[in-house]
Amino acid sequence: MSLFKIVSDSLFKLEKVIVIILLPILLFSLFADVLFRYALNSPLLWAQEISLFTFIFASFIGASMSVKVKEAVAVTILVDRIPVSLRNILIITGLLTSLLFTLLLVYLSIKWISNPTILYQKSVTTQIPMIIPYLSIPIGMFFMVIHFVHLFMDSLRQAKEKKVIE
Amino acid sequence: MIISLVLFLLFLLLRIPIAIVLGITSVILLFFAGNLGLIINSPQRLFSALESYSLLAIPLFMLAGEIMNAGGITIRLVNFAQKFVGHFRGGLAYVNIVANTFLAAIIGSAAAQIAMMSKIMIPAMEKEGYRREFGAATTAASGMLGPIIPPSMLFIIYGASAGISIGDMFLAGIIPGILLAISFVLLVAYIGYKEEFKKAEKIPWKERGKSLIQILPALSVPGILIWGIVTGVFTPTESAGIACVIALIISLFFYKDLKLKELPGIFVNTAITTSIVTLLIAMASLFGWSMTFERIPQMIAEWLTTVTTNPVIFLLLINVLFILLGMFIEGIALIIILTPIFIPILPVFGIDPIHFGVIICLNVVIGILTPPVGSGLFLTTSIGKVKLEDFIKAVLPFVAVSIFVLLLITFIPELVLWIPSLVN
Amino acid sequence: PDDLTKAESSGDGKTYNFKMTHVTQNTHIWQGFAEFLAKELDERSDGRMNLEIYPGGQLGPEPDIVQQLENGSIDFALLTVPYLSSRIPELDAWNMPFLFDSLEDALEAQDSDSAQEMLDLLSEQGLNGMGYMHTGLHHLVLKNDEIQTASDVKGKKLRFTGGPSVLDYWEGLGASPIAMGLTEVYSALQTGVIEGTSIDSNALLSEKYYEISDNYVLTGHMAFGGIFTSSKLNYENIPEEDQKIVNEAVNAAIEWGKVEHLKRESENLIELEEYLPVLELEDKESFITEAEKIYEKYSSDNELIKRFIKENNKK
Ligand code: NA
Ligand code: NA
Repeated sequence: MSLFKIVSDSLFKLEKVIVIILLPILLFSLFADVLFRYALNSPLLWAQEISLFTFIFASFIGASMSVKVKEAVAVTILVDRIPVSLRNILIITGLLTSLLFTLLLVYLSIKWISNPTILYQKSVTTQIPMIIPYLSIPIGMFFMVIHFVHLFMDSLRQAKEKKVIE
Repeated sequence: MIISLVLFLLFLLLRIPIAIVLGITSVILLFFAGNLGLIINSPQRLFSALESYSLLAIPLFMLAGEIMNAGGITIRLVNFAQKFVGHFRGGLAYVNIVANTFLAAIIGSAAAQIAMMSKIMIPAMEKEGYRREFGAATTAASGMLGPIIPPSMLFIIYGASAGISIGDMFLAGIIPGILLAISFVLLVAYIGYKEEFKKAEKIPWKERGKSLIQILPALSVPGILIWGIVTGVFTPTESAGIACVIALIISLFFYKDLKLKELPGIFVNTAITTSIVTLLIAMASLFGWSMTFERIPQMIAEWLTTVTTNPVIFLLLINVLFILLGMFIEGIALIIILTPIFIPILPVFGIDPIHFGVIICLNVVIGILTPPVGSGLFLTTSIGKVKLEDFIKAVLPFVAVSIFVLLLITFIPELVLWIPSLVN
Repeated sequence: PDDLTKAESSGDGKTYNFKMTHVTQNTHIWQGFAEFLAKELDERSDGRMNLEIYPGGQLGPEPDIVQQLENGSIDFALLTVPYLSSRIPELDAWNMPFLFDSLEDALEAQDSDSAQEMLDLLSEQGLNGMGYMHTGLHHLVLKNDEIQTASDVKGKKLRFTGGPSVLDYWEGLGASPIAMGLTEVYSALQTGVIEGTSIDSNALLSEKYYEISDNYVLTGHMAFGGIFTSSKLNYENIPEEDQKIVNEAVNAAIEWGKVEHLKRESENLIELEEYLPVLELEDKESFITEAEKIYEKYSSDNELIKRFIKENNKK
């Protein structure tokens, strides 16, 4: 087993744990908000921001997971009807492009959150430092990079062995 | 502009996930426009695109769908529909439409509904001898009912950006939704007659009654949602969360099909299916933003107003514009970008913003099924394991029928405005 | 060569295509401000300065706008004080409840020393605060019962925009303050999820909440502030002569804003009276007594807020 696979697989396990924690928090805070507002007439001011930030975090982690399980939607119309060798080249090019783009996003988002003015920003209601929800993007994109690296290396190996890249 | 369009198509053909293609194209568009500063803004843009309370409905509707699938609610809805309409020629196709109509009264998102139903209906229809791509097309098309029959995420987003009542939008969607369902039924009847679909046996009334009783707890979900929204217990967005809680209670305690240990898996699935859509929304927002900065949609809108002063021609042009844009840009992003541009010019033509809203929402819902970019297209083909080109061929008649309904509500505003006018 | 330097420093002949954005809709007074500014820039520069306006948050919500100003992607923006106060705590001073007796007072407060000092604080974040342009004075639009004295708000689910001081105040009065996105408000108000919202007369007309509310109580509890901001980076790159033209055009637009605000407020209230009862707040004193506690609390840990309240509290 390659190192890339081991890293990507264990990362996927970590991602699963993260979303298994985040989604119930989202559901709970939203439901609690309704309950406290309607039944107890004392709304929870934190609930809205918490559920929103949990949602955003889960979205970017989940986006990385969708790359890992290859469920992110893509067009296969061309690659499915050309000779295997060409197909493999195109798919590898595509993976490399995606890898470079996500790397660019990681770079940009690190630049973004390391700007000193980021620390001035607090959420309007709960005064949570915005850097906490903002972190969802560099983290999610970094995870995505790791999965793309694995897919890329794996595809290279398959191409070398003259197999059809799935 | 041309370069980025070519690159866009090129990247698509490399099997790169669409969301990523949208992101890459935006960055290239900004690069060629000399807007390096805006490229640096991209992460903030991705964040802001999702920082909208209305979007919370997406994971929650998805979660409700997963719970209803695992908890046996969806299958009971399907069985129920089968006992009543299953004996007609092409019975399971009707079942698909009818069950989707019920679901549409619970779920507010086409993507969520298509994801739920694809898992159940496509294999079921194939087992009964239907072509897999026909099953997929019926499922995807019926999924369009999700955002047209209230509750609806799209209407929430439109009402929000147009500054009009979301409640009125919901009411306005009822007749178009029913028209859409009826037209799909007629289409299936025609296809079934032409391709000689087989019939199933008629079910005795006693058994039908039994399945009705069985389905009552499941039907309480839309009941509670409607009651809650109307009486102000919760907002339409929050109703998605309430749907999850009720579905959980019914699945765990009434049907008892759901085991607690299945929940983690459900959360993982929800996160993944949600993120496919939300990443698309985020990247589409980046894409729309890069176009807005170059004033592309504004130019189109300004041009439109110089072409005509006739409201019907204007609306027809809007339909053409949205169908064309809808081929490439995801619905929510289109609504968000274009609504504020068109709302101010509606009074010039004397068009009701509710009528306009239902028209453009139906347009973008059709857009989820038109190639090359469409979440409905991608969800059905990936979950249903159908080839994209086969699917497109099978879904085209449904798209054509939807465009017919679209024209109907374009020419006859009363179809949209009648129910809201009764209430106000 | 002498001639050349002269031409450069005076900015003769240089043309500009400025970009400006704000988050409000086309009918809002902010768009009026932007259009007035565009006209002023054009006239004062003999057609060399063009202003492209992106209304309705077309370039994104406020966090995005600030970033675009910071790196010079856009030149100007109108930003709300409640958002800016989440980045610059001193600006919370503007959110203080019941500080101003009237819209006139709030407009006058723009020129106070402490208010002008606050504008300088923006420069740390790559922004150049050029002046104030409020969105209006906030009152309460309500379903069912009216509010006349502080005890009337007990247990009421009311929506507020603004920072912690706002929520602090209304919670202290026993209300149930709700933070809710603008998009949800209409249906929430219609169905009764909330029983009222804090809103200025412009927005009340454009959002049409009067259709589903029973009265509008002129509490004037908060000035919803706005700041006209330029990108520090781009502004510093403008030759001094042209900076002067920009400053003069902005000042003219800000003066226009003051006059227009007063005109619109009275026109709006007359129009609103056709739709629902517009009521004066009878017992304002009871609200002010509670407000004093908030002034004290937020003054104690911020010198500038303290001075702002002192300068502008006429009671
Ligand atoms: Na629906
Ligand atoms: Na499409």
